[in-house]
Amino acid sequence: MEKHILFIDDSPTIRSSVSFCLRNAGYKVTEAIDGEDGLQKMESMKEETQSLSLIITDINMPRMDGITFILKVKETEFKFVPILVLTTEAEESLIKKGREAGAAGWLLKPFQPEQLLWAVKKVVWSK
Amino acid sequence: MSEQDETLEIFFSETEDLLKLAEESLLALESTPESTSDIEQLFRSMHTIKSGSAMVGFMSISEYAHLVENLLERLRSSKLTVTNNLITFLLGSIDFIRSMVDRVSQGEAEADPEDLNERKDQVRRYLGVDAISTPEETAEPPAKEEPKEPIEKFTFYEIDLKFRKDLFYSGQDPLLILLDFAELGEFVRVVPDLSELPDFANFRMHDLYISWQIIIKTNRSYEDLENVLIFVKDDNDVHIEDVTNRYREGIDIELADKKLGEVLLENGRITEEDLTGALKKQKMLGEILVDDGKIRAEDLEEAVTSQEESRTVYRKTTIRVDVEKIDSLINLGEELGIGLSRLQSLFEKHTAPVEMEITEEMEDILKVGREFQEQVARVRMFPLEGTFRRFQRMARDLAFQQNKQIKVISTGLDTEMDKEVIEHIADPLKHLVRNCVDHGIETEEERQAKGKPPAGTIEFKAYQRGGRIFIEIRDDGRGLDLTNIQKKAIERGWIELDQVVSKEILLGFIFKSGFSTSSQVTELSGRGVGMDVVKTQLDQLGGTIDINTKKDHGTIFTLCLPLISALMEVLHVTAQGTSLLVPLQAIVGTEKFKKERVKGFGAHERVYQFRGDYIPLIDITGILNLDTTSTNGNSSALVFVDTGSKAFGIPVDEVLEPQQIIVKSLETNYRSVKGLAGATILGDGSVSLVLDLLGLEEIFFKNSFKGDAAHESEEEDESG
Repeated sequence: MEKHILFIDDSPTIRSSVSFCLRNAGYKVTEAIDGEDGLQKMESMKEETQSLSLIITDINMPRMDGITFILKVKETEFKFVPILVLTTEAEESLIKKGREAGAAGWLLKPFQPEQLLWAVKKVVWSK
Repeated sequence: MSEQDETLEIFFSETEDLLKLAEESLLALESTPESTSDIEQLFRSMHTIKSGSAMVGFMSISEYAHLVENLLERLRSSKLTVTNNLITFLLGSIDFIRSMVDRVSQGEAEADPEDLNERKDQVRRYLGVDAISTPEETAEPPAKEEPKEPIEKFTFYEIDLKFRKDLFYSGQDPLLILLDFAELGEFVRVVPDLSELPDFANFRMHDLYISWQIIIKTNRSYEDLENVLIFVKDDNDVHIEDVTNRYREGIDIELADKKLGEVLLENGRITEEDLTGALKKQKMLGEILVDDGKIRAEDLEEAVTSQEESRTVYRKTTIRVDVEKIDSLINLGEELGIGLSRLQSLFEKHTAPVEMEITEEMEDILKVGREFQEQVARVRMFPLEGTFRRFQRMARDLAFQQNKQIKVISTGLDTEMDKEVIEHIADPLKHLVRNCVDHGIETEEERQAKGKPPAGTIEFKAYQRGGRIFIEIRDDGRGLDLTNIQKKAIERGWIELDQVVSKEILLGFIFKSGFSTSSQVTELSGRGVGMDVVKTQLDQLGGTIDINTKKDHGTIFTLCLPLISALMEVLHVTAQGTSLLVPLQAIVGTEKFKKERVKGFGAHERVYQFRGDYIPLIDITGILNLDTTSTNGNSSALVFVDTGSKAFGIPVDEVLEPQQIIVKSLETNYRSVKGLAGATILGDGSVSLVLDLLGLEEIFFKNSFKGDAAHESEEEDESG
């Protein structure tokens, strides 16, 4: 089955390029512009929680930041879906906060497409 | 358009918005240096530029933005305070980023490497050399790198995997990790540790109780193995150890001398609970500061709130649309308008009684149609705010470089103009602003000696009048030196040594090419090319420029520009059978033509007595060469207009209805004609010409000197 990834970032440039890279690699991608939008998009996937394989989110976003978003996801039926954080924030304390909130991994921007796909494969079953 | 091109398009448009946003924040910071929300916005803009440009592969932009971001971070954490110097520097950085973006958008390299390094060094100097953060350690492996030298001999590693009990809640799967390792080499031994497994009654399905010890034989490097643990190594008890010595021949030489502590650790004597408990003992920065009494809890609360507030600030989003699309919308809007007007007149002519409902519906549609036309026409219109901000910025930069103090005031920021006109006035405005700062505003000492406030004032002002847009640039500097201008004009042979010349004519000289008043040419205003170029550019736009100057009081440059494609209120008239439109705003009144009130002098000049004044009459049909076969024969009405500087009357055949129209530029479809602002299609489908009153005024009144404009019309001689 096609692996479905939810990608959240407030920058259109990053959304466009990351989605391009993931779609190229055969993933199905849904985009959201911030945490709140992400939660809304997930609302419509509720019927089929199994279909969401991964969430990739930015940290620094308007309305709802990534950490809050992760905490919220962990309260939903999607709590076992791995969440990768894709951000420029390399600050230790923030990474720790993300971990504690339940992020599966932390990826720093910028990155090469290969690196992103490599990281995705670390948390998404390829078959 | 490919998806990649599209990404680039998005990037360019986003970056443009972000740079503007950053600039706005900087300018705001200048007046309120303490504003955390502006610092936050500035920081966030730079941050997003950094990551966005890296994503699309513009590494120079990204690296540079990263350095600037570091600088802003220090500002954000109050390690650095906002100074004028810093703002100037940051504005320069924004310009540099913009120039790099411009270059790549034209397919060039981002920047000249030397220039880039120089720029980077500048930022570093600001940061203080020791503050340069080393490039961020990315968590990713250098995926693109070829494996270094292939490692011939095999190495044995012991991998200990003791994960957090709640690993599954982070979406991780230990099996994926084991499989990853399996791909890298050959498992010599896998020992699962089941000692933590609870009784069935206490077993929780989503907890992880098993840990593993793996011995792997591999020709891959330590780093390759470590990379498998990338997402778990930080908060799980996982280790990789080279144990080749123990496995010399592939056989484990059991170590007898293992330290007790290591054993304890290996055997899992330290539990996850201990670990997470220890982790939880670490408090967040804010809490520690509160506990230490460095800040009050309220302070923390306040800082957190303001941080959150700034994060919720929405960005004004814009989209880029091809101008052609908009223009075709405008045209459609006009055609719709014409259609509706026709329909309306058909209805009016309709003699048979019409259902009330239909009439009401008709009126609604007409209203919506007009509104639609108006809104569509407005799409091309932009407020002058952005333009003014840019020049405000330029003025202060220039002044700063010259150690002059200035204050910039802008009014009429919401005055809207056609985008094309805005783009074309940028250069002329730039010259004028430079002139104001370079030559107009005096140094602080000079000003104080004259009893003026130490800081000079430059004012930008925009407003609409008489169907045209006016932009004023006013300074309170030393004013233009008329004596000097006269001297230069004599030197250049434009006037005779003892010729008496009016101030207006003298001022006109500065627009002649080859003129420069400043004896010392500054680096910034260049070589005195400027003003004649300004004039030429304005002419091309169908605009004019006017100077008003007083020694030691300052200078006012007034630009007067046409509204292209703009909505205008006009009065429909006919003259010599030609349909003409007069901008309504300039009209003072209309009345029946009374021959006895006309006084003629000279061959053609006539004045008319209107409300107690004698007002000159302009024969537009003659000026515009509309129809020379029958001159002034059947003028039956007069339209009186006031352009702001002159009042005059226009004889016409007939005064018709006032109308709202969209002016179409003649320039785009034909060529610019002095005296005509444009043309439009009326409700009945006929074409009508819109008069440019200031243009007419100029033709009629201002061509007295050396006949520059005389060829435009043979109608008039010298006049005031």
